[in-house]
Amino acid sequence: MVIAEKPSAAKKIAQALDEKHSPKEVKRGKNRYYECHRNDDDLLVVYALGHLYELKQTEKGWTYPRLETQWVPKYEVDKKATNVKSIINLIKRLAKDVDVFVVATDYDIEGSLIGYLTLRYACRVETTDARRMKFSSLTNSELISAYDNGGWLNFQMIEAGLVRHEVDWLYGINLTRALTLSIKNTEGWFKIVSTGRVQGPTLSFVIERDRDINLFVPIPYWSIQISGTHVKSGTELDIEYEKEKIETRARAIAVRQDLDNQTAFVKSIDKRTTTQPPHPSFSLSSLQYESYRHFGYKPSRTLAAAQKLYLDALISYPRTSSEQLPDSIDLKAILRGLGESRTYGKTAKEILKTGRLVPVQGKKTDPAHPAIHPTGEKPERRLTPTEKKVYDLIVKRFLASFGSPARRESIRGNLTCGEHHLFVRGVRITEPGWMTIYSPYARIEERILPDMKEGDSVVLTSVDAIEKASKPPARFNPSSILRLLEKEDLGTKSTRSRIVDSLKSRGYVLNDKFEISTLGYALYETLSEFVPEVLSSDFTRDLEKQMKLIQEGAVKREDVLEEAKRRLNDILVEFKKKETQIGEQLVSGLRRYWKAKEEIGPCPKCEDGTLFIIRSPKTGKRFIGCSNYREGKCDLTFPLPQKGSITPLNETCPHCGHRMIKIFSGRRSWKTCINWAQCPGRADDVKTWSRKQSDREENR
Amino acid sequence: MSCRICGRRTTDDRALCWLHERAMANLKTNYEKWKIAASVDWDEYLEQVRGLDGTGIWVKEAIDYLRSVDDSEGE
Repeated sequence: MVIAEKPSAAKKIAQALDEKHSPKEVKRGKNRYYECHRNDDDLLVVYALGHLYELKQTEKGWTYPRLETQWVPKYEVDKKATNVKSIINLIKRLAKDVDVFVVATDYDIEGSLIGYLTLRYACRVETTDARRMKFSSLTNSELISAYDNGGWLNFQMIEAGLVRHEVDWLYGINLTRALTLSIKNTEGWFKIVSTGRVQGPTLSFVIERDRDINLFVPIPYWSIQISGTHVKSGTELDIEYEKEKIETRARAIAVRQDLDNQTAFVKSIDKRTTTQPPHPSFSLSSLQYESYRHFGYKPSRTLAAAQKLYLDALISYPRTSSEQLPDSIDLKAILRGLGESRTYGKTAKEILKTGRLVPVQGKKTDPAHPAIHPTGEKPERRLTPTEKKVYDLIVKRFLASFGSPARRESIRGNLTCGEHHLFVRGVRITEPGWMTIYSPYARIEERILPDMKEGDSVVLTSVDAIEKASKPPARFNPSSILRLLEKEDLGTKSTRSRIVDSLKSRGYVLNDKFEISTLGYALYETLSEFVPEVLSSDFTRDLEKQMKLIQEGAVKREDVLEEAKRRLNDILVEFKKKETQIGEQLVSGLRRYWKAKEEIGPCPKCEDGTLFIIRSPKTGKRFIGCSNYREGKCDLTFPLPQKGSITPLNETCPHCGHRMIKIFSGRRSWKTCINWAQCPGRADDVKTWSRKQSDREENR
Repeated sequence: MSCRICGRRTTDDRALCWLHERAMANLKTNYEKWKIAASVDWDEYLEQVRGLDGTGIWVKEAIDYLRSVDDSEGE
């Protein structure tokens, strides 16, 4: 029996391992498995659906502390996992007549754990006898080689996986229950307020940045903007002043007066040639970063697309930290495969022709998998637009890594005008090299200067002193927060994007710009006052180190788990003592949160009611209504857009005097008044909106 | 007591929470820099800082509070 991680992987594995590449698909209810024949072996290829088993507390009760756990079928803890039961039953039934078990899940901690738990609890066999296929892509050649040269299970990796699940369960479940129950025992509300081993420190990073932004006071400065004409060539030039920032208005005005309508002279010309080698093939984090930069995809979206490309055998395993392509990879075969493609064929063939198949290697490594690279296989289905873009990025990055270095020439003309020093800068790409292959993702911005010589004159045609102000630190975005977590060694490449998403789904951040909600602040302030350990990254970073040591066989899982339980118990004992204070503080934060999220302001019609954002229980649609509606005193309502999140603002509309709201939808945000459908200031917007509505009606 | 600006809990019977107190302190510290840079008086300073995009939301709230306190004192 060969155990795959997912149905699509099982199909690929069965096709590869069957001698005729045509396995028999056997349907059992909603599930299926594959029968194939290889080297006198009859093989059954079955699949899991990710994790089939989850942790569950051994004692009863939705309370804390709960420190003892056991592995149970997933459907016992997750009511939505209805399809898991029939899969487990199918594996159990088939396993009875099996001699040899082969784990063919992804070769990483999670994959190893899925295989181990399936063997132990579904197949009920001795796990030390099972074999392990190790592969980085789902191509026929690699799968056959992995089967023929299979080794044994990596128990150190499994132990590391077990302890990660156990500790995450202990911290996530117990701390979330402690916070939620503190609110319930104080006010009677049941509102899940969560934190966890990595979520707490992540929230802490985001809040510290948000606080710096919210407390920021800009300081003014002035920049001198100069345009001029190079007299000999007649070329218009953008000229820089020697100081980027001038700190006082008086000095800026003096500089402007000194330079206005003057002539500057070229004092010297500096030329510099720089070479830029190509980038190495992607690790998961560099792929997620680049994908966000070029397409605006959130890291979780990029990972999902890459995972599908991997399951289609188009790219290698995406959950890797490596930026290196080891010698064992058959680069020639991959390039030959890509040579058949209409899009990449020409470039791949050119690289093959050079005969120099040495890609640039990055610094980062991963013991289990190489950098993400294409397999050279052709897509067997039409890729979605997202998959197509991510695939294009991966292939071009891979091909570009064989390219020659790019060369650019930077020229700086140094000018003087009286006592002032000025500059003109130019950039010219002399050899684009790999940048051509990586187009359009490599930016080639050239600025060509005229032929300038020492002593040439430049007439300053316009000089302005522009007042500016210093800017607050940049907000995190889904990509930059991920990079920070990686730098701080928090979470794993597989879990980080989920943790970042959880900050939003829990209501701690308002949008993709990571603006913290009042609830996020309330939680942070409460935790930092009463249980600061939960926000500290020291503990979780220390645990990551311990898990790496387990993987290396240097420490025992049981010791790490015991220590984690002891630390958690200390935290929970302290928490229990302060539960009332914690509850009161969270309740007060929740009140402010709901007020800020739902309360618009006083009702302009009845004047003693308050306008709120309300969701209709009948239709599920949201609108603005008055708190006096139920008493029959006021029937004022305003329509609201149904998509995106809405934040009430402390501003009034200059046209109609109604309150303003801000709407966030995807990457867009805009402000409007609640009276937007009737507001005279938005007559044009309304006309456009009405036209679109009537077009839609007509189409219907 | 609760903060007069945001309603957050305050310590030692203070009028403002620690975040709005820090916003006030930042406003006061940076006034010296603005005086040297742009030769503005306190009211002009508040007016200009309130209107800038980069000014933090708590600083803006602190300015609104300062102005409302001044107005009510004036009345």
